[in-house]
Formats: sequence, structure tokens, C-alpha cells
Amino acid sequence: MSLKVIIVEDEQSSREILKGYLERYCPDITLVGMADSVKPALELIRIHKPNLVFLDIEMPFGNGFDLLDQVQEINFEIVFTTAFSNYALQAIQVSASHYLLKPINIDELIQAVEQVKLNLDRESQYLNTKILVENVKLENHQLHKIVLPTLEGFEVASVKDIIHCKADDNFTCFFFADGSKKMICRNLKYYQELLSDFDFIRVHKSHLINKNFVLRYRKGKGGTVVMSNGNEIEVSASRKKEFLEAFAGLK
Amino acid sequence: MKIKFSILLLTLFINSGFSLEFDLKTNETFEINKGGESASELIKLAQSIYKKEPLKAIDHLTKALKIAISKGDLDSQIKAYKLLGEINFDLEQYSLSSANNLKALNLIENGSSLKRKRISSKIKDYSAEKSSIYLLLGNSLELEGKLDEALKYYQLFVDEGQDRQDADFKSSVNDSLETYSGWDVKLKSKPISKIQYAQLAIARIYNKKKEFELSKKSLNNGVGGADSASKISFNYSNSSSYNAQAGRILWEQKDPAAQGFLNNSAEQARSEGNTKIESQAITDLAKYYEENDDFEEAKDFRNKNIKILEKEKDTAALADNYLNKGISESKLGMPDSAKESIVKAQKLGEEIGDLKIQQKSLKELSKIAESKGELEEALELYKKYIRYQDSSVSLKEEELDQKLIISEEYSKKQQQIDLLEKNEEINEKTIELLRSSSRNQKILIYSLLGGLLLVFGSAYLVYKNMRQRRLANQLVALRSLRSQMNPHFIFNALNSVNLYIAQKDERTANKYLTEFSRLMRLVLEQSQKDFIPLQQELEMIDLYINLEHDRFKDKFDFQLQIDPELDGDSYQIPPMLIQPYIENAIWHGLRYKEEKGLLKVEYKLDRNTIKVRVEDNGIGRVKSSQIKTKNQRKTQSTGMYNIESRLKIINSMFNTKISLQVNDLNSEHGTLVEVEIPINSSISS
Repeated sequence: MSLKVIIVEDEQSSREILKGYLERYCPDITLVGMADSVKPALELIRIHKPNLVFLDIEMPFGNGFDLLDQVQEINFEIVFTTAFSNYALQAIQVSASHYLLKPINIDELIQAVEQVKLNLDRESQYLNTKILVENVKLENHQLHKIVLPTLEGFEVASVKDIIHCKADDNFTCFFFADGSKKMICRNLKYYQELLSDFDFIRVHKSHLINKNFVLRYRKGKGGTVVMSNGNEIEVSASRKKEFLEAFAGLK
Repeated sequence: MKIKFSILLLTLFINSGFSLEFDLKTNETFEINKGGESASELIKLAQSIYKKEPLKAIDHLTKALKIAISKGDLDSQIKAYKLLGEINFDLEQYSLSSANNLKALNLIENGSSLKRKRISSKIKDYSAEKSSIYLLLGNSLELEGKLDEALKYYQLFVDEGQDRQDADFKSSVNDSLETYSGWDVKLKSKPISKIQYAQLAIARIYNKKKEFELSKKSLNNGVGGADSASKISFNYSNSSSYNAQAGRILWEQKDPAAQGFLNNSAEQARSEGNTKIESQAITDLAKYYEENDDFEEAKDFRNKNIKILEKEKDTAALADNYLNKGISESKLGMPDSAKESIVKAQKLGEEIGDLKIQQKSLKELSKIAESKGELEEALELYKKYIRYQDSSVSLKEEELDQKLIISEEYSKKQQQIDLLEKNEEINEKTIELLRSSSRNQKILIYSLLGGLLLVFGSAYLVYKNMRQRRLANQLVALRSLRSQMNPHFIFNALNSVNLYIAQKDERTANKYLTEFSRLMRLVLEQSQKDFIPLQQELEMIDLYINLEHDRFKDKFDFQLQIDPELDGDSYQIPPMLIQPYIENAIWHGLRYKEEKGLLKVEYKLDRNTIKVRVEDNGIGRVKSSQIKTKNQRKTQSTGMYNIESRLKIINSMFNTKISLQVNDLNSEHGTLVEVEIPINSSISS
């Protein structure tokens, strides 16, 4: 099955490059239209009902998120294109949506398209985009939803339900408030970066904790922190200072 | 260190200030404790002995004053000065007496307003003391000849007496006052009251001042009579003494009313059996008549008096009476009886050794002899008279000498007292001076301290400011040094991309370009910071080496070894510190090598240090610089110099000891760069 694709990009050259790459390296797609701003893009989406939209974040007269705000029904995947990593990137990563940094790497482009193709047949179609739109609208970070890739597919969880994360080789084990735990196919460092704005603290080489679930702290070389689910987590000496500083503000 | 020093100074200053105050206090208490006896006891002792041993009494009082002054015991001071005044009066040292009395009076009047109110709890009513001082002062001043002042005090006494009407003023004057009231004999009659005494004194003074009206008025007041001054009423006092004295005053004014007073006094005295006053009054009467040339009357009174005095055996008065009787008889033209009387007077004078009487007698006898025409006898008598005069003069001188000696002794004592006062004054002044100077000293100390603080404060501010400015300068320097490194990449990399495009290898060009842009993102991000997580550094180095390797695949292989112990998130290191050396190794070492070289980059954790080794087996620095032109060398050394200055600044600013060593590897003509970054410092920021 061929993917219907729309490119939303304000810059002529960028559009041409992406168009060329898609034609040459992604033979399974059909480019149904290109737009240079939010308004014509909405029109194109309404008319063509695409499977995939390449969406530039920074555009004059409303950015990529403004476009998503105005789309009535999300029934397509998005691959964001951006020239520089910024605040928007985190929202995109949390919802596990795809993004490409400009200049676009052809290998990454091929990979992103392949991913979208894989999801197309699944029940969780366009889920990432829906979560992204939801997250963007939410003011409170803790209510944000996060998409966690598993071996089977992915899990969607609220940030506020994650008690702590434990590194397990290249995987990360998530402990949730309902007592369940999940093995996620990304390393802890990835989630440390992703969740640093959500009150998460790296207390140890292999532990990331949600500050809001800390029950008590016992002094020691680094000390031990006890979480609300009873789990005791070691704090490494080198990160003790950072940990205590995070709590100093709450006193 | 500085703070400690200033605190030390502070305590030092404060201590010295306090000890100064303390010294003052101890000094004072020491003096007070010195006197064993109490002032009031000494005064009592002096009171009991002053009649007999005035000198000793003065000694006691001197001592008492010393104690009282040091203690600030006002009461004792007043009493001591008052008693001193009385003693001085007794000793006929009138000016001293009045001086001491004035002191006492001054203390009474100003006592309550004195600065040191040691006895403020018992401010006494000194009115009794005051009035007695007034009286004594009036007396002593009168005797000193200071009539106006004397009058003032007498008047004060009288005014007070009229106001108060209490018993004390009506009580009789004491012996010593009577003695010095200006009469020759003690007036042991029915005593006159103090008020009367003062009135008499006032009358006396006005008399001396020739203000007879006022004098008479005062006399009238003394007997409580009408206040009309011109008509002196003959309300004689019930005291013969008062009448006698009033009579004399009036007589001195040549007022005939004197006769009445004197007669009255004589009669009263006779009925009282007070022969002395009787004799006194009669003498005055006789004198009155003698002055008024009524020698007959005078002679009669002299005879009367002689009778009384013969009974009394008062030889001196008798001699005087005989002499005056003789003079009167002589004036009456009775030279023989006159001669008889005067010879008697002379004999009596001889008896009691009274030169004056003898002298006068001789003079009169000589006159009588002359009038009788017995010139030889008269001359003889006159010569005798002259001789007597000489001896009486020398006697007088002797007396005066004696008096002088005595008064010298007393004045010495008084000098001591004065000295005492002066000492006390000086003491007080010194204490005041010390206090004020200690106050000044304190002000000085505090202002000095303030100044010191100000200096320290401003010095600290200047220091802080300087430090901040230096830090800011260093930061600017750091930033500028950092940004200088970037262009190397950009153009080298862009050149590579250009190469792939020229070769029409889109995929490779795209890959190279995107990796380059990733590298650029990292470098740009890092360029904002003084320290970055080691993880980012490693990522950047990996990207860089890979990019360079892409370009010079045929020139070198590389090994990037990272110690698994190194947790990339735990450590922070300065960015772009190692990269330039890797660049050097590739561009100046390996690139010139004929065969394929090897680049080894190693990050290792060694206890508390991150050790980075960049090793290449290129042509080495020496050969490299030989190959290059002068201009090439210049640009290269600028880059290295930049790193070194950057390290210097980082080490001083962040207090770390990052070391860098570049060694030539002689065996294979390679270069080894070793960088050691202490962990402690790298975490701290």
C-alpha cells in the first residue's frame, strides 16, 4: 500500500530537497501535495486525507503546533522537520512522534517512513499524534502522556503515574503507581533527558526517580531514598548534592 | 583573617576604654576609705575643746574638712566651717572668721544645687545655723571695719528674726558675742536678746557712718518702740545692758537722750546689783558731761563711780576714774585736789603696770605743775611722760609682735584649710578633666573604630569589585578564546561536503553533511558553557574523528577507547580541550605520513583524575614544523597558545589543576598529548 504524503514547509529549497529525497529513496509513497503555511496545509489535509504529513515546526503565520490545533480529526502520522533542537522537541519525543533534524539525513528519512508504514496496519494508528496534540494542549506537565516503546509495541502512560525507572542494560524498567512494571526498549539516559522537566531526578547511574513519589531519605555515603511503593533506591555519592538540592527548594 | 584582626583591635580598644573608667572609680573609693575617723566625730571633739585649745580644735576641724570634702559630706563641711569661724572670732581673727562663715553660708545656700548630691537624702534645715552665722558675720565684719557688709548681715539676722519670732532670736547672746560688742566690760546683766544685740549693732554702725537717724531708728526698734526715727522714745529697755549701750550710742551722737538711757541703765543695774554695768553707765555719763564741759557733774559721777569701783576692787577702772576726776578738777580750777586724784591714778597705774594710765597721769601732772608755775617740776614730769611713752610704745610693739606670731600660726593653719579646699577643687577639676578626657578618648576610639571599619569595608568592596571585574574579564577572555576555535571545523568540513558533491555522491555527501551538522549543533551548544558533561564531549569527539576519518581513510586508522568506569553523566569537563590536539595529530602528524598511521584516543578514569591520551605515530612536531612554512607555523601555534591560556584561566577561576603535556615520541616520531582533569573540580561546576 502506498502512503499518501503531504509536505508542509515554508522554504522552497527545503520542500524541493525533501521531495527529491522521497522520490529517490522512498518508492512506496505518493506525494499528494505541498504547502508553505498552515492555511493551505489544512486545506490539503482536508482534501487528500493523507497518511503522513512532513511538518515544519517553525513557520511564519502559525507554527506546526498551531496547525495540529486546527485539524478537526487526527487521522495521519506526522514527521516533524526542524532545523534546531528546541523546546518543541521534547513534546515530540514524549509522544514518540517522529522528527528529522535539518539538514535531513537520508537514512533517518527512510527509517521514519518505514516506521510509519509499520504502524499503518495497527490498531494504534495515529496514536502518537493524538497524544502529542493532547500533550501540547495541557499546561500541567505531570498530566502529560508518554509513549513507551516495548518489544511488543508500545505503552502509553501518564507521567504522573511513573514512580521510578531503573536501567537494565540498554533497556529501562518502569515502575508505575498501580504496582505494575514495564520493560521499555530505550536506555535510561534517553528518559532522563526526556523527563528532566517532569520532576524526575537521576539519583544513581541506573536510577531515575519521580520526585513526587519520594517517601523518605536516609543519610549515608550517598544515602537511600524510599519510594511510595516501598522500593529503596541507592543514591550515589556523586549525585547526592544534586538530589538534595532538588529537595532544598521544597522545604 | 582580616575579620579576626579587626575583632582583636575592637576588643583591645574597648578594653582600654573600660579600664580607664575603672581606674577612675577605684581612685575615688580609695580616698574615701582612707579616713578612719568620721568627720562629725572630729567636729564634735573640736567643739568640746575649742575654748581651751583652739589650735588643736582647728587641727581636728582641718582633718574633718578633709574627710567631709572627699566624701562630699556637706553637713560636716558646713558645721566645720561654722565652728572654724567661731574659733577665729574668739581668736580675734575677724577676716578669717568672716571668710569661714561665708564659706559655711555659701555651702548652705548652694548645697542643694551642688553637683554631687551625696547627702541629698537628708537636706537639712539650716536656718538656725544660718541666723547664727549672720550674727557672727555681722560682728566680725564690723570689727574688720567693713561696715556696709556687717550692716547687711545684721539686717539679715534681724529680718529673719522678725519673720520667725522664735525663741532662738529672743534668747540671750552668748559670751563671746558680748565680749566683742565693743564694750570694755562684760555685760553680765540681765542679758539682752540677740535681736536687741543686732539692733544695737546696727545702730552702732549707722552711728559710725554718721547716719544718726537710722541709728536711732534701730535703737528704737530694739526696744520695740515707735518707728519714728526723729523722736526717739524713751521707752527704755528692761535690760540695763541695752540701755547702757543705747545710751552710749546716743552719747556718741551727742544726743542728750543719752543721759536718760545711761541714768536708767545705772539705776537698773544698781537695783539688779550689777555694779559693772552701773559703773559702765556712770562712766559714760561722766564722759558725756566731760565732753559737754560740765565738769562739776562729771566730777560727781566720777566720785560715784570711784566708790563703786573701790568696792569692786577694779583697780584699772579706778585708776581711769581718778585720772578723769583729776582732769575735771583741774578744769574746775582745783589743781591741788586734781593733783591728788591724778597721783592716785598714777599709783594705781603703777600697781597694775598700766603704762597708759601712768603716762597720761604724768602728762596731766605736768600740765598742772605748769599751770601752778612749777616749771621745773613740770619739765621733770614731762620728761618722765616721754620716757613712759617710749616704753609704752616698745611694749605695744612687743604685744604686736606676739600677736603677729600667734596670728602667723593661725594663718598657717588657715592656709592649710585653704590649701585643702584648693586641693579638693583641683581634684574635682582633675576628675572632671579625666572624665571628659576619657569621654573624648572614647569618642576618639569609637570614631577611629568607625573609620577603621569604613576603611576595611571600602577595601573589601574595592577588592570584591576588582575580583568581580577580573572574573568578568577572564570570562570574556575565555569566551573569546573558545570561539576562535570553531572556524577550523566549519570550513574543513564544508570543503569535504563540497568534495562529495563534486564526486556526485549524494548519499555520502548527505551523510557527511548531516553528521557535520550534528557536530556543529553540539559544538555550538558547548560553546555557551564553561563545562559540559563528559558524555557530550565523547559524542563530539566520536563524531569529529569519524568525520575526519571519512576524509583521510587512507592516511590513518583510529582507536577510541573509553573506560567503562567513566560514567559520562557524572563528570564535567571543559569543552573543546582535547579536540584541537586530535585535529593536530591528524592534520600535522598523520596527514604527512607516507604509510598509514594510527590515532589512539583514550579516556581513562584513574582514581580521582580523568586521564586523556591522544597518541599518534605521525611525523612528529619537529619534522612537521620543518616541513611547514613560517606562516603555517604561526597559525598553528596560535591555536595551541589559545588552549594554554584558556587552561590557565579555567584553573584560576574554578580553582582546579587541569594539566596538559605534549611529548614527542622519539621512537616512531609521533606525538603524545596527555591531559589530566581532576574529578573533584570537574564535578563542582
